[in-house]
Amino acid sequence: MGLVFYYFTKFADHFILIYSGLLFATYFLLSTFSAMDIKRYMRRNSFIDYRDILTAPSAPSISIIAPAYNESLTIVENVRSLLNIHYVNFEVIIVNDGSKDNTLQLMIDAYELEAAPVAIEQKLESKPIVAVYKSRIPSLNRLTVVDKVNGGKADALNAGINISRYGIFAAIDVDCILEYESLLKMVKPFMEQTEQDRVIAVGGVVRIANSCEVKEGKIIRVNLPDQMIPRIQVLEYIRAFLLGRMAWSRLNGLILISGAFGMFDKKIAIDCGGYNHRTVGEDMELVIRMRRYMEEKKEKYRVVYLPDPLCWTEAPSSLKILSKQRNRWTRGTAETLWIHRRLILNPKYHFLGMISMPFWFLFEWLAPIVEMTAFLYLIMMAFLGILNVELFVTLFCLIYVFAIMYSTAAILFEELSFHQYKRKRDIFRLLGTAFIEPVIIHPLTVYYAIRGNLDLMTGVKNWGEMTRAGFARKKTTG
Amino acid sequence: MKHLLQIDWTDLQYTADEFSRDVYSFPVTIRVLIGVTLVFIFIIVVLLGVILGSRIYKTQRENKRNYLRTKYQPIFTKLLFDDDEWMENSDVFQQIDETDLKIQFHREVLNNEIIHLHSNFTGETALRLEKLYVILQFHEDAYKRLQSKQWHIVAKAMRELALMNVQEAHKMLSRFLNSKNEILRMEARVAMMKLSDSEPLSFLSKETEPLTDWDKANIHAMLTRMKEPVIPDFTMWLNSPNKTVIHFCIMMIGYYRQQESAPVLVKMLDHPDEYIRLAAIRALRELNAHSSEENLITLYPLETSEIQHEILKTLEVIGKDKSTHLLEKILKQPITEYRLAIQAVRALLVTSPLGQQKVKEMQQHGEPVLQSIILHALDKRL
Amino acid sequence: MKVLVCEDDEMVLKMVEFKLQKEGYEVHLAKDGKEALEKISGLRPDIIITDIMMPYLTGLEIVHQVRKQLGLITPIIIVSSIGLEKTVLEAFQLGADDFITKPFSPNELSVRVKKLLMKSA
Repeated sequence: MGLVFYYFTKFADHFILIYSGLLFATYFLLSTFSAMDIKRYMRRNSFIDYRDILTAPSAPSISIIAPAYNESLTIVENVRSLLNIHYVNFEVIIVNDGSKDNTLQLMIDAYELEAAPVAIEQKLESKPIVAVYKSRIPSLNRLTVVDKVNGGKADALNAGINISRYGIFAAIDVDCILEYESLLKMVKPFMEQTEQDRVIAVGGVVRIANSCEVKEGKIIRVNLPDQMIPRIQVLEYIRAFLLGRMAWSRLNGLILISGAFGMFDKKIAIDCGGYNHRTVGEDMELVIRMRRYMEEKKEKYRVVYLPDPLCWTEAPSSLKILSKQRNRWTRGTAETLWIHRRLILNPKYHFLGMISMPFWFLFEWLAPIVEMTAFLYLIMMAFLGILNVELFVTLFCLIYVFAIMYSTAAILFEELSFHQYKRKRDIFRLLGTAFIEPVIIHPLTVYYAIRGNLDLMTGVKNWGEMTRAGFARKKTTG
Repeated sequence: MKHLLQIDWTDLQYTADEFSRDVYSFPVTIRVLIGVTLVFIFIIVVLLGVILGSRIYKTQRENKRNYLRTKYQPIFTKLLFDDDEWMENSDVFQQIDETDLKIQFHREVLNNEIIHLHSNFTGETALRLEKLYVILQFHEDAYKRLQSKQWHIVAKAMRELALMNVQEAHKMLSRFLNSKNEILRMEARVAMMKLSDSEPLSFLSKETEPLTDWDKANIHAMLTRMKEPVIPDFTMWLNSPNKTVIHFCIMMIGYYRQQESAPVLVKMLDHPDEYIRLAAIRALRELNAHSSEENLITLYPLETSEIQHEILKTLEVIGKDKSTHLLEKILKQPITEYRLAIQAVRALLVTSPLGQQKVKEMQQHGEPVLQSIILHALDKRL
Repeated sequence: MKVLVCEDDEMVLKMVEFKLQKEGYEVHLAKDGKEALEKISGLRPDIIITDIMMPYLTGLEIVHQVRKQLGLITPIIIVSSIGLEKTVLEAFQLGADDFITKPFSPNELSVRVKKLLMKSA
């Protein structure tokens, strides 16, 4: 027995070491690839004029689909800003997913909507549609509002796809603020595709809008959030997007395009069945299914990610909402991985099966569990009085310093590429945040992730309604 | 005071020695971990240095840029819109600070302003900007940038020279036609097209690589910027072995309304490639080519739904009595795809009085699905 | 004669201002759609020149609001880089009087302004 325990502790020590080593190495590789891709992106687009797309007969038409659920605080100005996007051939479809507040009525009043006799073909399954509205104002011809029975985000998006007219659709969160040029930038990869190398989806970087100065759905000035919780998320987002997903885009192994803003080839999305109602991670699930579909058809394809800050969203500013959000993310990841478990380490799916999926399993889903287990293990060892204190302290220091280094690298990428935070003060505060994040918020996010997994096992299906403070209310707080 | 600041080096030395002795007594794993941690800390310090350096540099540049822009805005306005045109170069140099023309960054700012303005104006204003560009020797800067090892800088310089109509740059660009970088190759083509006096699009005959939609947009944009639009007859490339060239030319025939090309487009309806047929049908619609009606009607039953939809859209524009039968037939059959049915109703409404009557009948007596489709079709906003 | 110019590119805005002032007009500027609409109802310009893609309100919506909400017959010239047939037709249907595509000639613009003002006088 004693021998077994001895070997167990030896194994555990080594496992922790190896796992961290592996993690460092992958993160290092990923940031290298990211740097390469950001550099390439910036060079490729440094001399072009995006306005050329506006007049191009070869530019595709785009349907923007935005599900809305209880968004009465900001819906009117958000729709207005969507209608103002710089593009020529596009439509805006707002899907009111059975809101319990007056979201729909506000839109009807503001945009002079009236019911229109739309014949809808149910290419994708969705909850019944109550009515479709169009504006009486001819200059708002682009706007369509769909009112449907509540069915969740995936369901609303499917309804939007059913009603959309164009070959490319952009799925966005209605509370997001899009940069005016965002469609022009996102559509370019689609225009660059060739017959042999199809672009099936394009994602964009999502940034945090808390404390930014917003006027009627347009970002006037970018500020670093004043509150600690959103500020830490700024760091998380920069890391995840600039260091993580850009690298996956470079390797053509990206499997997650955030639900906040992504553009998809509609035909392929419909052919593989649209959004999945049965998971809260419908954004990631769709990308994996579309990739899987292309792999099985044995066609070459790409999923592209742009480093440009094109979409701004409000991040949770209280722990309660943050916990709900992270809980949902974890469940989404776990469900999606489970649905597509057949792909993991399956050589038939090439990079997707051999690298992307295992990575996501190992470092996205498993990481919090490993962290928690290691933590419990350390407590147990301490309790038994056989904790290797030296190892523990040095390892802890190393991981802490690594976390700071990684964040600093992310801040550097941001500074060298798009430097959104112009004030020196903001950069210092961001750096300060990098020092406290690993010890303050990180343990909590690990805990939320564990809770998410537990909830999933006990069968909680809640999507985690997110209450918003609304941009209008916290203007110029900075 | 001096005494207080003196550091007892021996003490520190001792602590350091003791520490390193202690470190060496640790097991290897721990020593490695400490070493790696120290390396990481060093990297953090370096990164911080770079971040701060970059921040200071960028802020300074931004301020300088804004200063220069406000300084030169009235000067440019005067140079561009003053009635008496400046004939002598000295007229220009009187207005602009010598130092601003010497410092590289200041030159860049002025250069960018001129190019930006040029992208918004045509006519005399544009001509004056082009003249200004040459007087201030910005084209020489661009020539220098053509030698750069970084391809995007070369591409930018090429574009600039093309947009500013620096004719003599034409021969300098030809060496990039065979560049290893595909983007640079395309940029060179487009830039040379702008600067050539005759047959700007001759490169299409030799084009072997596929043009992406982006390339097409790029070529088209440059074409619209050309001084006297020397728009060629695009039918000459419709036999090209390169499908994407054919596609581009069909699009351009439609865009420039080259009516006389309609019969050739009709022939393209037999092309084996779906996306060429699609473009041809669209272009026939843009040309208002009534003569193609029968061809489209015969084609319809054989086509994919994507193309059928395009045919119906075109029939809505060019269709006459002949189409009525087909359109009615589509609506009498069980409806497989709504968008086809909706488009068929719309076409039926405009092709003939008989068609309108048929729609009315179906609206009253048709199946509920058909009725809802007709209602949809009647609403012009949908 | 009061001219209102709406355009979000400041450099272009200033250039047009200079040009039209030289022609003897009283020129007012607006940098976004909202500001434009406020100035239209406040100043009652004799002619409006507007871009299409602007913050908050597009030029096309300005045309609609001027014609329908405010019920004005003030001549409106659209200056836009989107010169697609569809857009031009839409602008005219909403009630715009003239359409100039960017890049444009400031001389031509001032001639068209003069013409429209003569017609409406």
